[in-house]
Amino acid sequence: MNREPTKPDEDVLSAYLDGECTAVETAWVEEQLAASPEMRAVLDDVRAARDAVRALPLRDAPPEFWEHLLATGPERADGPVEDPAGAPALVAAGDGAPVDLAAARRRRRPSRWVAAVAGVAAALVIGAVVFVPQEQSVTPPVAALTDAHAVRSSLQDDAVSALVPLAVRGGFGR
Amino acid sequence: MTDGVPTWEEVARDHGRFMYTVAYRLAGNDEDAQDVVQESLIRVKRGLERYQPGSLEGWLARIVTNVFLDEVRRRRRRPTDALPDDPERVLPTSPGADEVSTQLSDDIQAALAALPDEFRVPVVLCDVADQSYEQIAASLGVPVGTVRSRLHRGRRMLRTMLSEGAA
Repeated sequence: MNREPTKPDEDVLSAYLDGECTAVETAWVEEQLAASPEMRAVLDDVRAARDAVRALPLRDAPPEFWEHLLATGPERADGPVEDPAGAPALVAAGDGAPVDLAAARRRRRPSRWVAAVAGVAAALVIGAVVFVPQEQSVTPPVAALTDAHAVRSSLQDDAVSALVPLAVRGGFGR
Repeated sequence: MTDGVPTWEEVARDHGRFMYTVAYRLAGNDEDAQDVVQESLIRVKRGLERYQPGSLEGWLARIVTNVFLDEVRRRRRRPTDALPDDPERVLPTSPGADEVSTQLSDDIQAALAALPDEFRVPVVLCDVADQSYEQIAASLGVPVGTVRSRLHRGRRMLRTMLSEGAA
């Protein structure tokens, strides 16, 4: 581009920052900046805005979004297209059938009947856990019962039972 | 990958984060960004046969932009659908370790989302997707001079909004 500006043109300042000026424009901008505090202030403002946006972090989608997409595919991929990146967008009246992102959203989400079936299944599992009788293991306190019996027998003057605390306790663990 | 042309799964794995970031900065919220990326990957899958190895991210940025702008046009035809123009709606509530940094990012994102589309799109393509003015002009179907002008005005508006927000 061989544009030779003849008056201060703010637009060229962004291009100057982005390295998108011609040599002629660059020389003109630098001349203006040296002479005009207002131009320097505008350049500072534009630089601050540019740096702020460039400093924004990368954004992550939720992991389940990618898991679902990679597991099922993006869908509706029914044939090649001319050039998916080629359609002029901002000023064009339209480039064929517009997409309906709400439909894409519906495809990505499980339908209501799937959710209902999942809910019923979950209820059945919970019911089975709560209501089906479970086999219980019981460990009787043998030593305590023996001692209690010995005390009770002593109080009843039972000579044989009075010897129980003196006996060696047996068991299958020996 | 065949002859330098990736599969759509490779595109999703290796460039999904880039696509999602561009989509999020354009759309201003996660819900719409997911829709944009999903639709973009459909177009990627359908268009890979004709893809000429080159600047893959440039190609992807153009697809994401086209999907986003298609949706903007569709919603303008159906005004009952919400547009992501309300900064309150688009403010992400992302809990982060560094709240100051997160708040700053939120403020910038809100200002970005409040820009009219014709200014926000060139700013995102230049400063998020790292596209040249010529690439942006080709994506949008406008002259390079228009890109230059809209980009500059968009940045000036952003700066004003951020200054007012900080005051």
